[in-house]
Amino acid sequence: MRAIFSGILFIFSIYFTIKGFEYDYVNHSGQVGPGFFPLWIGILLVVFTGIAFFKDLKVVLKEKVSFRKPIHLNSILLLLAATFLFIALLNVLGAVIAMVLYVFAVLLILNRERLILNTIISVTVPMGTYLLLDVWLNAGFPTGIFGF
Amino acid sequence: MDIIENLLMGFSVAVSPINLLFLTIGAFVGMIVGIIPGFGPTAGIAILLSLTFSMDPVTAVIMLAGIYYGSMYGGTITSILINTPGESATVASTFDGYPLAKKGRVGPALVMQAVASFVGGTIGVILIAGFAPTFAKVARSFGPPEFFLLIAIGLLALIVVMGDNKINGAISALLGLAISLVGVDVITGTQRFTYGNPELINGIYFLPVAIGLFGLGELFYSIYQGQHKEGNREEISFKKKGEFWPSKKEWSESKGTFARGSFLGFFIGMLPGAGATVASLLSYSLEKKVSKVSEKFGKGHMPGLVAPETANNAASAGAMIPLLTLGIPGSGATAVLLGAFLMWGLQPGPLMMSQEPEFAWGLISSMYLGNIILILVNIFAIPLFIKIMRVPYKLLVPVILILCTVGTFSLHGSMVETWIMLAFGVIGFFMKLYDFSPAAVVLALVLGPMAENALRQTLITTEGSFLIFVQRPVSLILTIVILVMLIIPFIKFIKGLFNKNINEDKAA
Amino acid sequence: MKKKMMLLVLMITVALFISACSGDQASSDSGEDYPSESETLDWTIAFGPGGGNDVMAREMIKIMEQYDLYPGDIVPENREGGSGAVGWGYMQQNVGDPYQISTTSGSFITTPLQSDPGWDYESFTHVALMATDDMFLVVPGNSDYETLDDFIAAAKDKKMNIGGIGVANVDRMIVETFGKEAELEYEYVSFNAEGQLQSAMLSNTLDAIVANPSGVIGQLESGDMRALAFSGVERLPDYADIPTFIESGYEVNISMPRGVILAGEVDEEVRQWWIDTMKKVAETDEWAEYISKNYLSETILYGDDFTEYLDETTSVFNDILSELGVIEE
Repeated sequence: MRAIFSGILFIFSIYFTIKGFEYDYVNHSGQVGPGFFPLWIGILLVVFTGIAFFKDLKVVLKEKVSFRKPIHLNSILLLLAATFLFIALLNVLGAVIAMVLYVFAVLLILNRERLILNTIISVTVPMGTYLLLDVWLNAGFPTGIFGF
Repeated sequence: MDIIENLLMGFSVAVSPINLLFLTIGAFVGMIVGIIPGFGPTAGIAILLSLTFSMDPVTAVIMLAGIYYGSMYGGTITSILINTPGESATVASTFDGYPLAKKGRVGPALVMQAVASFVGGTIGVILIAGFAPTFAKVARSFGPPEFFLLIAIGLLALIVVMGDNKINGAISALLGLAISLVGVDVITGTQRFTYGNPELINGIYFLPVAIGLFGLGELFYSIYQGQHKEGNREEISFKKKGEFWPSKKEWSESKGTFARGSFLGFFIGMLPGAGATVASLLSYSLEKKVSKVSEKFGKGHMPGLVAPETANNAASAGAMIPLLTLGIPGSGATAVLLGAFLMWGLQPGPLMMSQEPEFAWGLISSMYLGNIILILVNIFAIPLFIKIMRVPYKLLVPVILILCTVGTFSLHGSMVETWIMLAFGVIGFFMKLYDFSPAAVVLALVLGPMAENALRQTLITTEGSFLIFVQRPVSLILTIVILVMLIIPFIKFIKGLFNKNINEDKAA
Repeated sequence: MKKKMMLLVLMITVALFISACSGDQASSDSGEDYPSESETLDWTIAFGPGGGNDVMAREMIKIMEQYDLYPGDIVPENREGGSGAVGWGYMQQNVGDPYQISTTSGSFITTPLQSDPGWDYESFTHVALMATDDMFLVVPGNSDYETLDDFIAAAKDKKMNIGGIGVANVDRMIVETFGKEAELEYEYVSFNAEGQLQSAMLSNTLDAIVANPSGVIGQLESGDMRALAFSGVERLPDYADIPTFIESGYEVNISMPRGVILAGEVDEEVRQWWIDTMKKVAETDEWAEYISKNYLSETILYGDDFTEYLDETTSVFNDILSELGVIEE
């Protein structure tokens, strides 16, 4: 797993550096241009992520660590999916409905046993947030297809 | 003495029942706003500014001072409780504040934080009252070359913050710098890494990144560790009375930190643009450097919380120097204040202190009163926050999630920023898991563009010559500081090699 | 009977759905009964609270409410982000809705030149230009340059570093046109915050800056800074001793448009209604006070004149920016 993460960082660094070549290294009067920092930061990134990646790779090859599934991975993935859906549906459902469903979903993932408590929280927390941010601070929550 | 006279005049303006009432309301309201991730002093003042339009200018500015301090305080509360800084100046407060909370010392951490803010604010106010005109000269000598050198010192201080895994630390800081390059280049207007997307023209704002890396990342990590399976978190309860106040040992450990943090914070805050972020970061790394138990930092060591907190409060007092003496805003929050001055028909500028003394000194003394009020609010509010920490984690999760996502969205009403926040939440989880430094990412993201712009501005004006960094007196001092910061570890390294050789010789 | 009921229910549902989906758009009727009292006017402010655009919009709303110039409710919303891309993008999504209104500023021209936000100035209905922001050319109070001529003379043998806010901003347009007109040796140094710009000059890193009058008045009074010229067509009433570039013989007159726009494709009657209303706003004492308090220039153009102004300003910006390589043609 570790090697995958550092591998992704390594690939990102290479991409970043290549992209960095697109910008002028010096500007019209011969001084440090817009491409100076992208290039050097990119190169340093490639060096450091390269070292990290090969170090991690060596560990993988040497010790042959088998992939151990973390115990709570499912909860994390479900939460991530819920958050993803929440943000995606924010504009469709409107902030209030989306928040209620989201909180309920999150509690369903973590606290399945106590449905009544969950329902109370999924109504009160979004309402509180709505009153605080939208009504009071005028944050401009999205209104969905239902008009609120 | 002028100082005392002036301050007394200021207090006589500020201390009226109605002003005190609005100060308290401001402090309280600011605190609530500050607790929302992403809403720090700048956002707090900007949003609540409209509440003050109909007031008398003195009352209005007093209320704003309350909001300013309150939201700063609220931002620190989330740094300590859920590891999510409300603004860049409280990133450093998470380093030891959150571990303290995890160790069950929420109460002492919050008390100490308030005391640290109070001390920083007090020393700051005394320094403004006594020496504002003198300091104005220092602030005046601060142009792009000095600014670049100061930010460079801040970036060097990141090394101290990075943690033990130096390669991962370096990657983290470089990632922050890389992200900071997105957007229109301020100097030439070239668009970098924007892919033509108008939402990216102004670059990636650090707050969604910080909320993702810290708030969401920490949350995912806690669940990974199974915190939601635990019932009431007994370790964070406060049963004994002694768990409310910091221990004697914690007080005595932090004595020197209070003084160093305050003075350092004030001087850095005084310099336009650098402000509280650099101040808190430098103060933290200074404390870690001078401490005899530097290994304790980052694991819940009280001076590690006191250092950034004294510094960022003293810095916000320091930021008033360029505002009041030069009419130049030294920080985001003072820029909003400046706008408010104009709206009330006040003309900020070098003459404000002599032309509008009531207003200027009223502002200074109300900042001080803001500090006192917050200590009081604090004493009442801390038990409440401790109670929050006793709520089972699985029930806190939806609250934190909602505040992070909706808070990020509310900041600018931007979906793109909300997605950025979620993406960095995932990245933050892996960074935490594999020992990277989210703090280095965020701080590099904040400091990177400042350093780049200042360096390039300097080089344009000197036509490429670096001599300016030693020709101007303030630059020269800063250059020497940088050289010392670079040389000391090098000497230590050589010494280490030398000692090792001797030891090996002996062994042989 | 049953069928009819079903149909009715269905129709109501559909109607509700459509009205909920499309908001006010369905009511885009002819201009005769415009504005309707029951319609809320949605005022987009494409920037955050406290900024120049925000202050102007709220001032206008205050005046309109005070003099009962608009029958219904007016709701200002800050839709900030992407230098106006978000706010005016929102307007663009509501094409044809006569209850969508917004206020413009410099980014209204520069943002679509720099990127593709999906709209440009032509996507909207132009009502009126209400004011322009003009700038001072400012030097440190302790410098040798007492007049614009001193400065220009000195700039013949010394390269002048002139600072301003932003790369594709009015600040820069002023410096570039002035530099060309006066044949200066100069370099434009771009900053992104007023505080750093001013302290850069006070610390003698820059020779001059262009600055908004309201940002430097205090420093001018105290003698820490000196204004050499003003970029407006006429001198500022409160600073009548500071000459304009134009009267000194340099054609420098580029300004930031502070105007009022409606969503694109609204009826001519609606536009005319707003032109008439803005004329009333411009006549109030409150508006005059706003103009003088913020040191704006009272440049007022209605309807097609405003459009023409936008055409011209956009092409000037476009020419300078593409010459400088900031944007690709």
